[in-house]
Amino acid sequence: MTKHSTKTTKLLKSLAPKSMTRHYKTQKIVQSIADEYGMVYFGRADYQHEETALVRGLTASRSNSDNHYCIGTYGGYDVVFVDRETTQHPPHTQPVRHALHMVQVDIKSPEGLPHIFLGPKNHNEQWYERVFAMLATRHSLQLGLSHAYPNQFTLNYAVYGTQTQQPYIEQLITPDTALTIANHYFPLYIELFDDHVIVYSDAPKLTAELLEVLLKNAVWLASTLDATYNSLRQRIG
Amino acid sequence: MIHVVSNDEVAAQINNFGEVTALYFINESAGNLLGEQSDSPVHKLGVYVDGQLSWLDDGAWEVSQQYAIPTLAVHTSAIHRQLKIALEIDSFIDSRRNVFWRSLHVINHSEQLRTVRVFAHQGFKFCAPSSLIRAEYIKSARAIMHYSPSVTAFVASSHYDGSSFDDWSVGAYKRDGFEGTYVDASDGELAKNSYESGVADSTIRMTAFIPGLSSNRFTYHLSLARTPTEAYSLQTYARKQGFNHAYQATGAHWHEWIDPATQVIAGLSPSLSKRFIAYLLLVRTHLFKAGVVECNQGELVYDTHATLYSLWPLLRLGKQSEVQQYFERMAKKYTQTNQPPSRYCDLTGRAVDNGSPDIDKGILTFSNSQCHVGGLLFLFGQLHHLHSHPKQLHSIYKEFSSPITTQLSGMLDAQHGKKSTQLSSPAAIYDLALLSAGFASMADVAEAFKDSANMIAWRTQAEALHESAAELPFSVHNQTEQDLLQSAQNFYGLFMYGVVRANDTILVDAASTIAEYTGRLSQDSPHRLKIHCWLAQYYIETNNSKLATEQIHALVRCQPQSPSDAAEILSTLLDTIT
Repeated sequence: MTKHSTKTTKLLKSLAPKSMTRHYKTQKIVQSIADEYGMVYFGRADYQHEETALVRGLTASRSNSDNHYCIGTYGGYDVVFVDRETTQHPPHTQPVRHALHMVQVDIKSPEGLPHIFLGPKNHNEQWYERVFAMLATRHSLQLGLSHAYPNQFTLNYAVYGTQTQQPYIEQLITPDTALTIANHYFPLYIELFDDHVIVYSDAPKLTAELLEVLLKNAVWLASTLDATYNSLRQRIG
Repeated sequence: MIHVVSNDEVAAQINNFGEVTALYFINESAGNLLGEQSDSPVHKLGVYVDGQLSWLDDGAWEVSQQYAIPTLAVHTSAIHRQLKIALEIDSFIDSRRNVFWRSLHVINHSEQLRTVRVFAHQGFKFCAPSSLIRAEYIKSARAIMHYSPSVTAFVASSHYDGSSFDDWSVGAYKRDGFEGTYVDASDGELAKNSYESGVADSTIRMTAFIPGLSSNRFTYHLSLARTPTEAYSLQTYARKQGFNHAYQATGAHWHEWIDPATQVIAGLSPSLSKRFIAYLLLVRTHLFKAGVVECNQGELVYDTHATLYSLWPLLRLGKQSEVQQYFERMAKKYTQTNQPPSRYCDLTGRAVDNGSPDIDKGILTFSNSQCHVGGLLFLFGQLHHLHSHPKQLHSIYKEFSSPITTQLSGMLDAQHGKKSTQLSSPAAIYDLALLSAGFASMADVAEAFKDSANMIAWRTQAEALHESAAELPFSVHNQTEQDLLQSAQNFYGLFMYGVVRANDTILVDAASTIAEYTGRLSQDSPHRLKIHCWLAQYYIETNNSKLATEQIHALVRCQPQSPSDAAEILSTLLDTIT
């Protein structure tokens, strides 16, 4: 099959009634949640004139297709929602396409966060490393240097970060925070990056319930991290 | 010799007195955190006993130093005969955390119980505007924080009973009439100043009551991170973990790294094996993410030539990932700058002027200093040849090795006819041979990647350079030691890169002449080591085991002064077993 005909097939698929119905259903869900939470719905994000992606982290790329983009404030935090179609290009293997529902929350702590990725263990380690090429530069960390972590968390989540930052990561993700993540976030992905908390799901269908969970969980985590950071900062004076 | 301790992110340079003279946070573009100026602080150590203070660098101490294996620690022994005090310092950087550790073992050689106070001084300029930096005593952390917007350092100490330093001072460093806080220590007491903004230093005091002919220990740790909260977390963890745990974990980490090499060198005698491991670790501790560093006028700089010398034995020992990471880093830099790597760069990646600029008005011009690029290409070819999955190197080939080879080739073509004037250095034969080997190596890689146009072009270039090297007159000069070194380097280039057959009379005669002249050099000549290595490699190549053994015996009596010296010994010893 030629490149041209592949493109044509994709275009035809996206215009197929089934695909269009799904698009409008999702739009309706996002718009209703946006209305309920006072957010503004923009639809498709155009990266032609943008410096960086609206939602950053491991999946950020100018070639992404971000849809149903809406922004607002919830619980005192700036939040962004996008439905992202991304193609990851792992080295030495075929590109992998993903559809992700993502909420990004800006934290208030001035120092930013270490880059941490918390992946549900329903995917194995090789899967993460293949899909998220950037994780090749991160280690799968065995948390527990400074505190004991609950089994529910260590069984359900793999934590990726740099070894040199592990003591700091353990100060930020305390056992209590980890327990909440284990009980209320699985199987969502969590990424801390710069001054953002990103929570995302690869569920095939977006529902209003899932969108609310993403939104509330992302904001809860951002506020918890801010509180933890402030308590650490107070100790320094 | 200046010693270096490092992990992948932090490196410290330690002088003959066990003092830290430079500290680098390699991932940040901050340069030497102590400062780049000649009056930048040195992290001093001193002892106050019987009413007298003595710093390790005041000339009263007899000091000896060596690397400890396998922790990559620098062990410094210092004895003050008049004060009857000895200090043993083990300094290293944790392999997995950005913490610089020191164990301070204080030995009381007197028969009396004495109160001994150990002072540790540190200061940072951070290469940042002085209005943005400060130092502060943090009570909750029992530590001193040195802060800049991009890097924060926490300094703390521990005694075996869990207590921390018992006195401290923070103050202005070499400004406003202040020399530095270490001056306060002269009476054994510190001022307990807790805050200073601008360029500042700090001094901490640790006290022990040591019975006669007995000893005591303190540990000192300096945690480095990008932000204060991260540095605070790291120092809290380091205090809890303790020196012994960090020392053992780091030893285990490096032991694991060495392990495959110990199997390769099983054929060496025990004494040579021990040296081999020591030199391998010496190379490793100087290998940072963007190459190997050497000490240049007191500062650490990346040296591409030293990197080539050092990565070659690592590659032969199966350390492909280190070599591949180096090329990945080079490729990334090349895509940003479109310029070949400079021979020397500082640790922030800026090219360092070495007197022969590589770039003239933004246009790449050929100079002898550019020959290291030929070596780089040769090494890439060898990496491709020895790699278990050579296809993985295709992106480096596409983004870096191929365009740089084409660039170099174009430059040589543009200056066709000027080669003899451009390459008029005394080591021109070596330079041409290295360039030729680089092009030949890249032609092989191009063939493997089915890039036939480049393969033909580069093979043609390799042959032309090979001919040019063979046409240049070769003779051995020994008017100066430098002449002899350059003659030996040309000799090495001729046989190593196959310009002349190894058993050709010209090389046989040259080898014996060089060996004779080298024998006349003083034992501490800095050039002996490399020449013995090259001669040994030549005699191994020509199956003259008696003369090869003679050269190896001579070279093991030389002390390597740099990682490239150590790497050359590794290559020579590997030749004896492979």
